[in-house]
Amino acid sequence: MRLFTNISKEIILGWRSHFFLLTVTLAVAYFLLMTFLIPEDLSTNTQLILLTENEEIARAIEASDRSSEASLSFVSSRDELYESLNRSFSSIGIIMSGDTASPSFELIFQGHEDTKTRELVKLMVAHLLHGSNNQPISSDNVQYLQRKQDDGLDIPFNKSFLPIFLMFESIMMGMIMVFAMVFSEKSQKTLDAFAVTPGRAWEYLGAKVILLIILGIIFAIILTALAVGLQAKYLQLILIVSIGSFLSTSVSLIAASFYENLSQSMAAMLTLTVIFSLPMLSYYMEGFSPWYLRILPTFPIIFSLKGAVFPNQGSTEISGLILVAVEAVWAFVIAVNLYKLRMRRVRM
Amino acid sequence: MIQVSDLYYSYRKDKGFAVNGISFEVNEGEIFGFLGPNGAGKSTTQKILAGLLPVQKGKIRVMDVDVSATTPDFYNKIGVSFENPNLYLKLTGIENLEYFASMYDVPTEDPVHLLDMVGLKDVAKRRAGEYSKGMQQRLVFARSLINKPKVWFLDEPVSGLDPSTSAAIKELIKEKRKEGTTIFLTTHNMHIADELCDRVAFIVSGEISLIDSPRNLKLQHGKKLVEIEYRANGSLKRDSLSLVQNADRQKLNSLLDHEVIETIHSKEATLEEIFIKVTGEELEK
Ligand SMILES: Nc1ncnc2c1ncn2[C@@H]1O[C@H](COP(=O)(O)OP(=O)(O)O)[C@@H](O)[C@H]1O
Ligand SMILES: [Mg+2]
Repeated sequence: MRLFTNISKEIILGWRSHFFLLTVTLAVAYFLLMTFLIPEDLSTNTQLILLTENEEIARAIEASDRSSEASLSFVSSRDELYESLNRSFSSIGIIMSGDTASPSFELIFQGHEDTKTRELVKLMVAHLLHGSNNQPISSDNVQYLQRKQDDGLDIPFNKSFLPIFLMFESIMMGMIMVFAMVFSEKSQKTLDAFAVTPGRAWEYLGAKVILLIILGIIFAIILTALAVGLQAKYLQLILIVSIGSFLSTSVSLIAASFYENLSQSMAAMLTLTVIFSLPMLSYYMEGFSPWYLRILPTFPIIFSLKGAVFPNQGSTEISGLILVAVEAVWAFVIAVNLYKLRMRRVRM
Repeated sequence: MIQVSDLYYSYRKDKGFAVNGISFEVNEGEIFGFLGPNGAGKSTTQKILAGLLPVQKGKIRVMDVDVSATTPDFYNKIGVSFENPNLYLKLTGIENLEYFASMYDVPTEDPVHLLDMVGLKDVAKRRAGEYSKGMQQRLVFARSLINKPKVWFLDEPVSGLDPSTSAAIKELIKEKRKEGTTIFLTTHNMHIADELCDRVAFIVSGEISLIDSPRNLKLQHGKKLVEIEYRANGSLKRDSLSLVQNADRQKLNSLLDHEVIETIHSKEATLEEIFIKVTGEELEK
């Protein structure tokens, strides 16, 4: 009952502090950012321009690799080739000579391509040529650094930010709001008014956790629905966001209890945010997951968020969250005890 | 109801005591006043009694509970009004009271009734942040009554309030005393102490110099003077005569017999005069 009235107090205060409006606005803003400002595909679409005198090769190439990511176009003269190269900054010219038995080729780059791109193009051309021959480079010999997902189901680059934004909101925004709440109460000195009632610290703090979980869920549902629609696993999403908010709120409550106002706590808040955000590195570089990133509670959170919003990609396994939940409970217990101490030492 | 013995408190770990070895007892149903200038240690003492500051040294029992080990149930029975308003400024007056009322396990007062008692009924639905300081103070005062406390702590209950509001608050305090509430009250205003308190403690620099009822204090320390104005030889004369000294008594008698008396007043010492005489300090600095 007391927990319930504490929650309704926090919701009223949160509403009057515009936390709900802020949350909805941010969800929509992140969606707009994702849709209109971040490109769907980051890889500049390399255009290959082919000049060949040999009709046979041309036909063979055309037939050989339809699924190639680079688009292919043919020209019939060197002048035309240079003209095309000048028109498109991301195009690469290929001049073929010889016959199908002993083909040779000449590559014309723009000059800005990195070695990786150059090697890739060489490999591709070799693949094209050999593919038309009888000894193709089998795709087994080509090692991709990142295992490719099933074609056509790849997460568009902009949408790949969804788990990041979801995590960021529950950590960063949660943290800012908790700090704002705590310092507003400190300046109003309401904690000592509470301290002379039979109210328990866990009810008082638990209500704040619940408010932030509610805000986190609202944000997650709005942004996810706008970004990927019905494809996401919403129940799982709600569970993950709840655990994530529980953790970040509890940690923030601990941190905020050591400071008197928002400006004093800025450094601590930023540090916490950066540390909690680090697992983003592993998210974008899948091979990179050193222990110091894996032990961060946000590590399992971000990957399970990915599983929940893109159920076709990656694992929807969420057992890693059990540990996070345990850590959250732990942080909460510490926060409660810190506040119990504080309540008997507050100044009027 | 309240027993305090040898209480010390330092905000700076033993360097200078805000409360410097005080002992006193508050009986059930009385209004016990702490009278002293700003910085005397009144609020600090109240905070320790209410369990808001730790008991560093000394023994305190409130309703037979050791204050250094209070349970939530202790707080069901006490009410604390603070010197400076501490309210949820984004909640309305009524919401503030409703929220705090919901914290108690015992029957609580009707928030509307409380607001009415302190003259805030009309602004019940306005946010506490929009209240004047005096209104906020009254809301804090009303809040401290929400659980019908047996022991009621009041820190400067009427300071800064206008005369009519402060009169209403004083009436309320007297009413609660009649209902049997034990009241611990701090003030730097001698009129409040004089009017409300059954007993007062004079406190200066964390030390209590005496504890007695205002009436006893005045009887003991009063100068017992008579101020007299009379007409003699056509002009108005003024004199101040002691009721104990023989020469003065004879002069008074002869004045009464032979002169035209215009006014005559007995003059008691005020609590403030006694305070200055006893402690060597003034109340208002
Ligand atoms: N939070 C605090 N930190 C340090 N010193 C304090 C604090 N509160 C009060 N004091 C000091 O303790 C002494 C007693 O203060 P206080 O109990 O508030 O006096 P009163 O209520 O009688 O005006 C004063 O010297 C005051 O400066
Ligand atoms: Mg004071």
